Amino acid sequence: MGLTCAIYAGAVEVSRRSGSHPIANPVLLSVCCLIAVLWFARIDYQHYFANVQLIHFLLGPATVALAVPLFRHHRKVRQAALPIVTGVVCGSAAGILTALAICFAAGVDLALTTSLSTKSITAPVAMSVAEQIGGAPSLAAVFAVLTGMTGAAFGPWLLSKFKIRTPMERGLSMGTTSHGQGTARILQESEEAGAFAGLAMGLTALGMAILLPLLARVVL
Amino acid sequence: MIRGIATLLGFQLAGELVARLGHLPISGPICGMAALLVWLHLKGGVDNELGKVCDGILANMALLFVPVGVGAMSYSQLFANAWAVIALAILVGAGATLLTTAFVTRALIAWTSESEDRERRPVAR
Repeated sequence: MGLTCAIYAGAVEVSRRSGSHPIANPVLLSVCCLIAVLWFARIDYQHYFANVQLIHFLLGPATVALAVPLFRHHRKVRQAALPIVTGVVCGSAAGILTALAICFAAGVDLALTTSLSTKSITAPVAMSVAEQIGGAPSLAAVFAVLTGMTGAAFGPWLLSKFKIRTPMERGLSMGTTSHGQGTARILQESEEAGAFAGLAMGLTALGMAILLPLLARVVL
Repeated sequence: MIRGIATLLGFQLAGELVARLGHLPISGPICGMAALLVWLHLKGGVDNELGKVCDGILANMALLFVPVGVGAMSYSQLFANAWAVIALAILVGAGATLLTTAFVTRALIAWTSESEDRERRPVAR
């Protein structure tokens, strides 16, 4: 237990220090460090997880807490509800369909496919959705983080390349694709884009959490 | 502080109950999030304490997925076998989502503002 706490404190420190780099992701860094430490110390994952259960438990309340930023932006949604909701839904659908198409084309197994389908949902929600549709929660969390990183690193460049310049369009795209990390990245451009990204992230989480399990029931 | 946490846990519990008893395909915390959203609309605002607790949790949210992320170590074989598919799916998927969201939103905004101009609504946006 003491050892686990020490490892964890170290990981927190690492993520804090890397916080200033947009590409060096705190979650990915701490995960890699922890895996390395656990591997060297020959501690198995079950043992580690039993000791950090409390941190894991907080994911539930954190998911519920997402309602607050969603509520704070509700005026902006009302102003352009139809374009925003349709844009976010089409964007999420495009992401899921391309990921599924690539998985089916490559013939990878179902658990990997379902865990990849949740990659544009913010990690805590992605985990619970993946679990329900027969994916692996830990894979879903890692994919969500990797997608977040990818979008945060290349998203603004790609959007500029296609001459997408308004804060609303940029914010929505980043939030739909890269959830929390995309939101943090686009917030550096402008407050308005950040608000739209937060909104898109919440909408994606809520919408996909409802749609994906239903879709899985029909398809699988 | 305590009241804010209690509110979140209460909504999570309520969501869990609704999801289990109703056999919904949606997870408990998500039901709880939807319920809290409805409740905030009914109340018409976020009270200070709840707001502070939520901002605190969300600011440190990244930390919360670390324990589960470490679980990827149990899948090292899978990553070794399928890293190319995973990388491709993530890259192409992210690109497709980014561009589709932006262009669909832009097209619909242009379309709705055009039809509003035609109706000559006096409401300034």
